[in-house]
This record gives sequence, C-alpha cells and structure tokens, in this order.
Amino acid sequence: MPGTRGPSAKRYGRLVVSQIAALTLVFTSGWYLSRIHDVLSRDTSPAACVSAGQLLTTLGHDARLAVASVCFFFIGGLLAHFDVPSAVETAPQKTAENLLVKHSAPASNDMVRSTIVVQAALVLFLLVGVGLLGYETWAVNSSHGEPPAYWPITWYVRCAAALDRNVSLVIASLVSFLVGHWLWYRPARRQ
Amino acid sequence: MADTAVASQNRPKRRRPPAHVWKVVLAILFIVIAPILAVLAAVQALEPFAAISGFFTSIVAILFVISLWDLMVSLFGGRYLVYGRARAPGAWWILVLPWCLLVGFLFGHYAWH
Repeated sequence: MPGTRGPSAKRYGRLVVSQIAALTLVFTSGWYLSRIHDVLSRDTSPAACVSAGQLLTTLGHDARLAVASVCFFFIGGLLAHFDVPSAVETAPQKTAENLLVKHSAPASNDMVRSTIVVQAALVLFLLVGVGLLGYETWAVNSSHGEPPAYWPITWYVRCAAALDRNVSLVIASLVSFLVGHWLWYRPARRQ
Repeated sequence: MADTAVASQNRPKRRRPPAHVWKVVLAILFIVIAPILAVLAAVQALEPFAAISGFFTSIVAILFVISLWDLMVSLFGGRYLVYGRARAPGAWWILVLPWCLLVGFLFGHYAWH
C-alpha cells in the first residue's frame, strides 16, 4: 500500500541479532548450570569450585573477559543506535505518556494501559534485581574468610568461568551485548 | 452529562514530577550511603566487596522505590517522582550510569577478584 511501510531491513536485522544472542545465552547458561551441578554433586569436586582461594588460583587475572565485556557493551549500544525509531513510530507512546502525566487519562485507554504494564514490568524487574543483589551482598559478607554456607552468585559465575574459559568469554560477551543493546538510551529520530 | 463532569472533576490528577529528584537521589547515594558503607568496610564490619555490592543494591533499591511510586501515581493519581522527566535531555546518563557501574562491577569482580 502506498505511503505505508513495514519494519525496515535494519529493524529485522537488529531483532534477529538480538534474538540469536538471547537464545544462545539461554542455551549456554543452561549447559553451564548443568555442568556446575554435575561438578558440585560429585564427591571429588575439582579445586576450581571448592573455595574462593582455589578459585582465584585457578582463574588468575584474565583481562580478556573484562575487555570483551566492555567492547560488546558498546557494540550492543551502537547496534541499537543503528535502528533508532522515528518520531512517528514513538508518537503513540508519547501520547499515552502525555495523557498520564498532564491529564487524568481515562482508564479505558488502551495506550495508557499498555504504558502502565511496561511500568509494572520495570517495577518487577527492579524488585528481582534488588533481591539478587541483596542476596549477593549478604552471601559475600557471610562467606568472608570462612567456608561458604551459601554461595554468592558471582562464585557460581567464577566456577563456570573456571570450567571453560572460552565459553565464559562468549557468555560474558553476550550478556554485555544484550545489556548495552536494551539499556542504552535512544531518543527518537526527528523527522 | 452532569455525572460525567463530576466524575472528571473527582478523578485524581496526575502532576508533573519535580526537577530536583535526581539530585536528591545522588545526594542520598554519595553523601549518606557510600560513606556509611565505606566506614563499615574500613572497620571490617563489612567485607569490602559486600560494601561495593551493597552500594549497587542501594542504587537498584532506590530505582525500585521510585518506579513503584510512579506506578502507584499512574494507577491512583498524585505527583510523579521521575516519570515524564526520565526522557528529558540531561537525565539519560543518570539512567544509564548505574547500569554501566553495575555491569563493570560484576565483570570486574569475577575477572580480577
């Protein structure tokens, strides 16, 4: 139909890349979790996953993970900038926000309702983040200088990193890519 | 018709957020929370990495409280804390910075610790 355009090739490309990254992350993380579970369930656990001290010896100082993470964070952000939505595309959302902020929007307004759903999802996401970070803080503090009763989340990550460096590098890169892609602020293009 | 007008008047108004909220948040983080955690870590009441992790927990907890407040305002009316200003020019880095710090901390923590 003349005058109407579907999603551009850029958008399809961006979506495909981010979906592949997300799926790869899910599968590799699942594979890692099963490996860690196997290692920890055995009587003869490898030194890499026994204590923090041995983890440090095994891991050493590997700058590749940090460098790759930072690089892919920026690559994810740049890919998001590659396909910035136009002002026309973001107009409905802006209208809904204006209805919410400036006026007393009618409850039956679908756009307003979807905006509130996004707000609620953000609240839930932050609640989960607070829970995980709170656990991490408590676990790191309680395991200081003693055998860990409860592992901090980062210890699981280090255990996984000790099991296979190269896969860890891929996972760290994917996480950074997705974080950079979804959290980077992108103002709409002016037309 | 008259009922509609009355209902419109009685509907709770949603007002724009004040501009100074982010300054208050940053002041709470860096003038109150960060020094307390630093002192606790210095006297070894808190493991240093737990102090850093606690700082990021505080950031996300504050963002959670703000977003929960704004969600309640969207549902029941009142004054927003940041919603509507979060997209304002100049505010974007406040949204991105905590996440950059968090990601940097997490990866630095297991890459170098």
